[in-house]
Amino acid sequence: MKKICALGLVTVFMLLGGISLLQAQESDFPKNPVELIVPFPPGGTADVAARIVSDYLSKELKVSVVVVNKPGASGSTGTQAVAKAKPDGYTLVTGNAASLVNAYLFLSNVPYDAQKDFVPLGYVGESPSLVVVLASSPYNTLEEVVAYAKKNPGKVSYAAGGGISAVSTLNMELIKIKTGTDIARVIYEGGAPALTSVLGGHVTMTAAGFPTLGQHIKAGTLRALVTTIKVPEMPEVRSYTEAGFPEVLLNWTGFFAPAKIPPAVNKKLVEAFDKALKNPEAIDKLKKVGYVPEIKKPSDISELMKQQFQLVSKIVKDAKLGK
Amino acid sequence: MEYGSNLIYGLSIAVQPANLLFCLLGVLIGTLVGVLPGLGANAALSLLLPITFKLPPVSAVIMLAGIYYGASYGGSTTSILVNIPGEAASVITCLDGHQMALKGRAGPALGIAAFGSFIAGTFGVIMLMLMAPTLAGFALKFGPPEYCSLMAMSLCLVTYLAGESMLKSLIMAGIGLFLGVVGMDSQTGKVRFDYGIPYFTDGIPLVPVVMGLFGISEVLKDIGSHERQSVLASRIKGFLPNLQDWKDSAFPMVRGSLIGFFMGLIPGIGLTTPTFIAYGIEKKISRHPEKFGTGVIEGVASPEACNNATASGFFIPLLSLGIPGSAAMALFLGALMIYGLEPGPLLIKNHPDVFWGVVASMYLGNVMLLILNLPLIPLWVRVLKIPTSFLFPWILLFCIIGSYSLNNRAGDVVVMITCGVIGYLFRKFRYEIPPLILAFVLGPMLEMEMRRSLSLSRGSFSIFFTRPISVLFTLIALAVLLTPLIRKTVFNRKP
Repeated sequence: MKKICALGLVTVFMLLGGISLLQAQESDFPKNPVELIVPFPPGGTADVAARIVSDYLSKELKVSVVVVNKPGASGSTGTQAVAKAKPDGYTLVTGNAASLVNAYLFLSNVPYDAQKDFVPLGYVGESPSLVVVLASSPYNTLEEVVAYAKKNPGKVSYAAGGGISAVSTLNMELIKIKTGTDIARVIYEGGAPALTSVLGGHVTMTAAGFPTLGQHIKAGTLRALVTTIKVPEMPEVRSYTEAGFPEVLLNWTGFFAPAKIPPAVNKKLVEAFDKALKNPEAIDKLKKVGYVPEIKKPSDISELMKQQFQLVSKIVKDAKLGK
Repeated sequence: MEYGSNLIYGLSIAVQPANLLFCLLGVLIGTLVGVLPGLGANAALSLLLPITFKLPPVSAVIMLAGIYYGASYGGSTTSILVNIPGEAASVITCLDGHQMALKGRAGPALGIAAFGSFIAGTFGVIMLMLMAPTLAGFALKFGPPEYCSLMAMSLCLVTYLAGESMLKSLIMAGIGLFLGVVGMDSQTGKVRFDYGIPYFTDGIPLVPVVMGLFGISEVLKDIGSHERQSVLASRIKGFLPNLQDWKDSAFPMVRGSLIGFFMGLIPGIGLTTPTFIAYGIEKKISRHPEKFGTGVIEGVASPEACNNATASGFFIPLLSLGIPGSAAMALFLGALMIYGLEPGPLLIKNHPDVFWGVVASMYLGNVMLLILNLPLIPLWVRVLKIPTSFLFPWILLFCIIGSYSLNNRAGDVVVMITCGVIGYLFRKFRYEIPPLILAFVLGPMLEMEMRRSLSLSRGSFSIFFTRPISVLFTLIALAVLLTPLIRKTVFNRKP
């Protein structure tokens, strides 16, 4: 009996010690380097954004922020790793439409629920996704392509850069559903081969991100028909809304932590991200790589995700895509 | 001449001490990662990309290009010495390169690989300089049907890779094709043959498979075998290629360079397939095809020249159209973007310092690589004298580190070790691995391009026979398949 008592006491002390240790950890967070996981390979838009922001975040948190790439399975591999990581604020993830919204609807084996398992910390902004045709083609607007496709079924095609679950692809499918046209979908795994395909005249048009297409639009080889959000350098390119499609999927990027992180740590991280993302230097760098930076509160990020999630579900159902 | 003055401008940038230093550093790191099994150009670029963010753009791009070149140089070294390809593009070099080493001719094999790479690299740079804008259009001629026919043609070459048994090669190609089917079908988003394991969503990765089938299995095979030691310790003849070697490899190098360069212009082909094609063609036109696989120097010269020419070919669609031809090129594109440079039709006009600086540094890089590599040959050959009980644990260690560092995924290490055990069995029962690799690389591309073509044509197969380039490749494929059969029946002799 004595032994049990002693054991019980020891346990209580250990527990107390543990709790006080935990509290200590919470209040002097961060003590160690913070890992920012990018669930995509180096060099992509999400990776570039994470690397730019990590520098400024590091200055705010006063510890180093290490960017680690864990690519695979449309971003779900790295995202899952963070969902399973210890929720202490030292492991964060860069999330975007592909990894947090679209992957969930397309992959049958994504073991996380983007809306329940993560809390948003900060928002980078959106990267424009455009629909382009060859400058030598007769089309000047999206309506003209749609009209031609209606009159000539089987003649119009588009190259879907970024695969079946990409924002750009789903937006094209949305146009097809809304207008009831037959436009062949030619799937590519990245924006670059889709670009080759449209430059070579093998397909009528392609939908891809601004960083891939921008140079060619400026050089006059491609003509932009429509964009998800206005491109500051090209105010003449109409947005989907202006072209009569108010519902559109956005190519957004943000930062997230596992949902169960302590509130105090969460608060610190949100504040640090807010300051880092408001830094004019950071904003300038993000603009350079094609982002349209925007500040959003965590609650607004959740709201955006929810709304986008519903839209994707609808497209997936109507276009008979996905799992 | 415009090109002359541009090049001098480029050279003036490249020879600035800082840039020269970064070029040297790049080729050094590149050679090192090329030599280490598994750590290929892609891994090196993605590991070092973040470091170069702090450098001025031109220096950073020069260094990255150096790494890229160095890696394609270094990959052949381990293929020849220990039958373990430093990267996938050096798989085919194992066939004759390692046989040469077993005959005591590791020196000439390494020498011809270095010279072949140098000649092809220089050829590639000259073509890049003179014809980048003109040749860029060539890449665009390839739509899905053309890719599909090209892949089909390349796959038919598998028949030329067969050593002792055609049946066994075809079985291996079949396994390779099947392995390539695993993973997410990008056309529909459905995942195939993953057995519910998320790791397989992206398919089975190439590099761990190559490292396992070649590297780990070589280590396993060597346990308990003293054959290598006795062969290598006894005779090592010469460090440099002799006159006969040069005569034998001159034309294969030229052909390899041409094949490699033009294949490099077509985005997405990758470094591996062209080397197989170059080897297949050499074997086909050789007067002694039966000797291929026993250590003929042509079997080293042609694919080695080829992979370096391909590496420079890749730069053309990248720099002039902003289209990356391979994973490594995609990293390059990312790097250029971070520095605020937008690769594409305007790059040469807006940033001549970057374009010409890179071209000039490629010249310098090639020279540096040759100077670096030739004196290293005797040193490399001496590696063969290290007892395998010391050497092989190190190789095993590097394989494991290399496969993990690719994507920071433990699954890659598991795949590598599993493939090592399977590869050991393949070797034991004398099944050749290269046909498997070729089919594994080509299979997914062939399937995707075919399905893209059919979505374009709404399901009609006529698309493959109504476009000139596609028809041409289809005819070559048929010829490749049928000639041995016809010869056999008409002349009643073995092809």
